[in-house]
Amino acid sequence: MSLIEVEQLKKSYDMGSEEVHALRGVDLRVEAGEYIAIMGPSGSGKSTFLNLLGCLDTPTSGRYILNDRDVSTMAEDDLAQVRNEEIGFVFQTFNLLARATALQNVELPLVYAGVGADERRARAQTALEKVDLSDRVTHRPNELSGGQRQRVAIARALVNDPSILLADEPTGNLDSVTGAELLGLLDSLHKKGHTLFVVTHERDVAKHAQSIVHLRDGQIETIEQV
Amino acid sequence: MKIRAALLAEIATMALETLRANKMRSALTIVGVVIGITAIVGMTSLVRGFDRSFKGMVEVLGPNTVFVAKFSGLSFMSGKEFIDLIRRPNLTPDDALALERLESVRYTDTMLGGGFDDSRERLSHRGEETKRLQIMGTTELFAQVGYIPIELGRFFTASEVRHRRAVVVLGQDPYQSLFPLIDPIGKQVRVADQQYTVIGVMGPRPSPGGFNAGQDEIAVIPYTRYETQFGVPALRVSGGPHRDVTITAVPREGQRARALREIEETMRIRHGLRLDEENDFDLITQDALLRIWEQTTQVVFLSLVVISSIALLVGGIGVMAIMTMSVTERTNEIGLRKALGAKRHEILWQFLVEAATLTLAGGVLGVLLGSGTGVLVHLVSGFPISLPWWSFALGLGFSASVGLVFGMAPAIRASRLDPIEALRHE
Repeated sequence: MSLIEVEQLKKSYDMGSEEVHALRGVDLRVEAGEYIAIMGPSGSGKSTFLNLLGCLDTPTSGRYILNDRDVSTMAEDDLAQVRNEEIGFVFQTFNLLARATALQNVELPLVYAGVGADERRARAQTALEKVDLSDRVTHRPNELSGGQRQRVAIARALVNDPSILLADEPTGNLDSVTGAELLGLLDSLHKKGHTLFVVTHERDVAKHAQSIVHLRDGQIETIEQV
Repeated sequence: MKIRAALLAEIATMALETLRANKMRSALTIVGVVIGITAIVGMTSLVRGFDRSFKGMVEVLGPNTVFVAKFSGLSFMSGKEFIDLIRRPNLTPDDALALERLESVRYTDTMLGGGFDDSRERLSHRGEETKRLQIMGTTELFAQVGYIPIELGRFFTASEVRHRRAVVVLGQDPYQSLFPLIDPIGKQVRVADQQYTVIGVMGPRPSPGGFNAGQDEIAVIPYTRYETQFGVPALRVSGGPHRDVTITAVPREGQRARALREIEETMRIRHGLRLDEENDFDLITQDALLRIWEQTTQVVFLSLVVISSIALLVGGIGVMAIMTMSVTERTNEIGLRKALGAKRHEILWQFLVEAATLTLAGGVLGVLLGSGTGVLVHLVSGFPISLPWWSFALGLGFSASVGLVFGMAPAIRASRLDPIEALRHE
């Protein structure tokens, strides 16, 4: 069994009178430990695909098997639990809680996993060490640089030990030097065996992956091996 | 709806931090709640305290004593017009004598002055002068009937009343201002323009609320003497002079009901009332007073409930507004939490707990302010207060419920947000 099995995944939105087909039948198999980039022009279905992969949404039809579980027909709260256990999100805009410290931000997924306070703290601490931020645990987001913020976000994505890491334009809000550092960090996570998806429109970013999935008009155009 | 303890603790911490971050806004929001809870706790402490001491005072009157008056608070309570009341026939010392002849009545006392007029005079002794005091003319039974202890000397006798002796029994106030250091018995004081001999001093009298209501600013002289010096005090009103006479009748043991009936009959006959006419005098008993008091406190409590409900309603609407704003402002955060695995009910509880924390903070403040007000009033005026634990519990419970009830709609909205849309929201 592959880690991810996507079969004929379709998603359409009802926009008043007309139906918009965002995804028109996508098939994809991903093994654990792969590093995949998703590229495509806007309107190609990138975001929709990422939302479905991240279990933020359910497909109109088709199947999505994640880690032996069919998540394509799950109810909202069950999806929430899958997200909590299986998926780590990294957003373009970091999405950290401004009032919380780096440590508290990283602890958040563990709060929803029902982990006790002591263990939470220990695991968040470890996750921050992995992204080289052990000296910034008590800092709040506004006391951190953009690169540091994104590393906090990555620590938060890793803290629950998820099956896959989904990064949506992770370098979009970073300068090129910091962006390169962050891509280095993603590379090292890949080497350690994490499964990574990165959505990007920059070829330089995509090149870090093993394979690049090109989407166009809601379908996979090509899968390019790097 | 299972919610994890870890999450609840987390949520409470987050809620407090949110409040800290928005101090001004939070403070303004909970003003209504603070007012409502302050009113509940503060007024409860005052009303309950007053209630207790009032009952204590009424009980001192004795359960059997019957007061006969031209009119009283009782008739006001039953909605009669003052102008009609003042036109009722005056009571006279002769009425008291008639009542005393009744078999069911042990003795009566007649009190002139001390009521609805301004028979207030100064007392003086060797150049020292008191403030204006209530001068009352009574029979020899005044102290006995009113359960007033005699601290020094004695009360005047029937013979002194009969012979219009110029003797006076002082209340605590004139005693202390005229004779702070020396024995007053046998000393001469001047009441208005006439000389009296001090024969006794009355102990402190109970008062409603236990604070100083002037209940000790009195001097008592034989009513016969009072008539001579002041006449029966009259207040000129249309329809004739009003005279202030109160008759106190103490029934014989176990004859209270009969005494009440006989007193009423006697008074009706003496006033020449026909069968279809209602009483033109008031009969006041301890339980009648208590009944009136209960009614009054009920009204006070009812208006208290109304006032604080309005304040809490206003507070609740404020909370609803602020929470709606908060949900909108933090849409992105809600999206993030959902992406990280927050379930619907966890988001719902987060906002409910936040709203309840907000209003509970208002409740705590209200309890402090309310009891503080009570204590302050007590310290300043000696007004008795009572701070029952249940009024605190009530205040805190109410304030938290306001948060839960009014926070519900915004919290439900938050919990139903679509994670993708919420994440996209800036």
